[in-house]
Amino acid sequence: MKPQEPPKWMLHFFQWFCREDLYEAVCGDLLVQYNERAVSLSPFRNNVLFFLQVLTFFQPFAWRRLHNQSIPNLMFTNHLKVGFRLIRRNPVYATINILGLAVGLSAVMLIALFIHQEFSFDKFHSQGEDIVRFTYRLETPTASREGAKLPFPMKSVLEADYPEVRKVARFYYWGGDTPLLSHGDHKHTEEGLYFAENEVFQVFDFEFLAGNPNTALKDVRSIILTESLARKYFGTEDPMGKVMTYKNEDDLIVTGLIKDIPSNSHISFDALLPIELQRQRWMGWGQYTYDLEKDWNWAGAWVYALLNTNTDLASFEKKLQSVADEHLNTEEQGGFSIEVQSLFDIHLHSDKSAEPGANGNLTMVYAFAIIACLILLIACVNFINLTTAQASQRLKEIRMRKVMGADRMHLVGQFLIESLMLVCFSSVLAIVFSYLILPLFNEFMGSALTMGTQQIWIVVGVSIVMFSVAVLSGLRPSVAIARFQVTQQISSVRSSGIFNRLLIVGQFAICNVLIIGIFVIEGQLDFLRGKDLGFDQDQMMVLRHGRNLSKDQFEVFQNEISALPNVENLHRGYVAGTSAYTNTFKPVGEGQDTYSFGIKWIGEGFTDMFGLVMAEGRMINAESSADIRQSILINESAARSLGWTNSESIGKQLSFLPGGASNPEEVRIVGVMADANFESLYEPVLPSVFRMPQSAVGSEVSLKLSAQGDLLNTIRQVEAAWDLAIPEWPFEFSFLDQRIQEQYVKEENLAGAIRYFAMLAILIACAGLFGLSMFTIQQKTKEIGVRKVLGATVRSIFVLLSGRFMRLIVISLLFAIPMGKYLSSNWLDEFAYRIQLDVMVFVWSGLISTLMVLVAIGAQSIKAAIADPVHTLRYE
Amino acid sequence: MKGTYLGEFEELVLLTVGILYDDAHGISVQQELEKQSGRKPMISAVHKVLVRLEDKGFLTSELGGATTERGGRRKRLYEMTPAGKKALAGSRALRNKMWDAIPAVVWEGGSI
Repeated sequence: MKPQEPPKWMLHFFQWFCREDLYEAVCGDLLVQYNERAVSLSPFRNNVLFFLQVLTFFQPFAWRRLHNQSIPNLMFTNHLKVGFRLIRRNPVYATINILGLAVGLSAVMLIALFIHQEFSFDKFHSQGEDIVRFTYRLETPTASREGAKLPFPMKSVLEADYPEVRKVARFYYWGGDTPLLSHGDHKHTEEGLYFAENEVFQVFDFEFLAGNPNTALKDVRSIILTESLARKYFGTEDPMGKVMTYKNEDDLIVTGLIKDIPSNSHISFDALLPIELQRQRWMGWGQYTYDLEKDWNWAGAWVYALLNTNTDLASFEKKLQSVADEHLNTEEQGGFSIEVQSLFDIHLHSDKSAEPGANGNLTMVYAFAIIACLILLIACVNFINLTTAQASQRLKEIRMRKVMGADRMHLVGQFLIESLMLVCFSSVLAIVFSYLILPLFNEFMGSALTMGTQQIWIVVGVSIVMFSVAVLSGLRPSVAIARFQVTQQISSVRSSGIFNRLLIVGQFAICNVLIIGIFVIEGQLDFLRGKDLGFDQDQMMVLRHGRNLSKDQFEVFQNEISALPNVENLHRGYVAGTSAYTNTFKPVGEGQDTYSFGIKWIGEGFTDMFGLVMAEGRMINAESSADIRQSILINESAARSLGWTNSESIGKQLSFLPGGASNPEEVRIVGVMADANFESLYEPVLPSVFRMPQSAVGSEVSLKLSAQGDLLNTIRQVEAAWDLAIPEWPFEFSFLDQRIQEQYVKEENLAGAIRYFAMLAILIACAGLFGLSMFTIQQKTKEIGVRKVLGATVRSIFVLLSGRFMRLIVISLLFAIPMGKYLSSNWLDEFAYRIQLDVMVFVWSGLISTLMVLVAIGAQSIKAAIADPVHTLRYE
Repeated sequence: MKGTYLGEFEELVLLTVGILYDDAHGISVQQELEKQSGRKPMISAVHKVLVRLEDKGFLTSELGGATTERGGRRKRLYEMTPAGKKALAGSRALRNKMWDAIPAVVWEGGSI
């Protein structure tokens, strides 16, 4: 049998560096061992071992010799030595180059981590390719709506009629709920209690630490905890089989323990309870007839399914139209369709109402990617310009090398090694920087990025990109220098070639666009922050468990509160500035058009509480039960979309179709409320209907506190009143203005991050210009001296020196302004309320960039201009 | 010429070459060293020392003995030079002298 051989390239590599007289013998020895191992090892492992053995010979004793010196030695030592000397001789240049590149690179690395995280959402589900979510779309001439939730009975229909569906899994969660979970002395209000069913574990991959995934949620009184929630209640104890109490009412047994949900999951929860539990609770364990599994009017569940592999989503979606027609569309309201969404599309592409969590924003991801590229570009331009400028100072050295017989390849090699050296330093620094900045970045972005062994490929990948970029940017100056002839004049190699000037123009065009961007983002966010929402939100306290107050308990609470001097008002009903529910309305006797309006169940004194103004008509009379039943208010936007003026609306009738029910209620408009933006400033005011419920039980409770008086004391008094009224629920609250502010936190942080990265880019560009101006001025020392001797003033020299750069900045502005204008108006168009682009924005950004350039090059220029010609013209 | 100092591992390799007599090459030296001392040096370390000993003039070498399992490549067979023999003898003599200089009481384990 022919003996097995290691790959040829390994042998060639060995032969390349190894001494000829040693190669044959050593290679033979290695092959003997190779053949011995071939019996027991796979060829791959054997080859790897062989290569490692070859590498152990990469030592000076085995290196091939050339003119008494081994080749690697000869090349590296000299170039490295010269490189180090250059850094020492020109520390400013080296610092700008290394630091600029390092800072840029670490910014790019952080952004790459972020982008990777955004694109990795839900990828950990092994069957993710075949998982879909069902959503609905409502499209009528007057309304358009998309929602992520569907009615619960979707599941039975999908399972029964569609063979392409293998498993259906539903989640349910309602954000307004504030469930209390307790075990012994541990009693907490939990945000992340989701309802689900056992199929969830056959569709998704949530990792079980204990319990059986096939049966864990089968029993109606079971609960599955995540690791961190279990720790909160049980510490180090084993939670399995323990009893927990839900909402002070139902005892549940812990039947499963799962790992915490990864941060890159679009759906995230702390514990799972069976949907059956919710169903039974609402049925009063058999007392009532309401069955959520039969309710087609309430879109309450996120419905996921595992499909057969290679199901065509488009044709599947078409088949589902019959479900929508049969169950969702009614005579009164049509236009519903059911859509199928791939699991991987949810995080970045889906922005429907009632998503399980805040999804990512593809525009922001792109913005970050673009900024990362720009930072990289600017750092590279610095690198190219500075290396070229610096190389033009080394003509003596280069000439000497040429005379001594160096050919072009040697010189190119030398420059490449030098720039690679700088890149190596930068890369190491960049990794250190990224590690240090990462916690800060996470806090700012609200993300949970890590740089561990799994992410090492990002570091490696970015380093490789950076490395090749550096080679390319090192190549340009080195080729230019190497081409130059020994006999040529020094002046013929200049740092200020047209290419380099173009680079500077490009760099500052980018910077100016970024400055304009910062101004626009800042202005818009300021505008949103200061925008009057149209209702009072200060000193407004919202009780977290207010919904649980029974009629009697609320009366007790109300009595106690009315005695407090520092509580101005108490309201039971819709809290302004919180989530919106919509419903379908039809004007009576005015054609067949239906309208989708927001519905807000308000309490007595709603307008006083939130400082709202009636534009027309009157408030609903809370004393009269007939008025409560029959009367509604609408807002001005609703009047407008109905095509009525405020006064026309009064007395008109609407029929109220709760979710398409067949027996509509007819209600009369008694008042029109002035528009106020209760939802998000990203959206225009939602046309809304205000109605009073027959019974206020189950509504939220809010209090308006007096701006005067001791706030802490007032809160304590309210707490005492609460404890008297309903001691079994904890006293927890939030302030409305904070709650509203939180809606904007994510956007603000993202915009803020973009702002900081933009500033970073500008800073790097300025540092580059600083370095470049230093070189040009050094080159012109003699020229300045001669000019001064001939009578030039300090001012004229300053103008001469900075003028060159200023011209470039002005040209860059010509490119930047239209570009910035286009991009900012694009961005602003996303908002319902936006600032207008002001000419001053462009003037200011132009001035700022000019100022920054003056600072960067000014000190150098002034120093050169006032220098005494006696020193500059001295002949050494 | 490099110094004639003989390091510990160099001495072992030199002794091994002597033991192997007419078949001292990289692998056989490595194997013999393992047999004698119980430690298995890396093949590159063995070659490194062989090259160094040759540079110092303690060894001489020639190529010979190609086999198929070596991929048709010849062995580099090492042989001790007179200088090598002298160095080994010198090293041994030094040791003996120093051994003899140790007072007998040290071996008997008596205390001062």
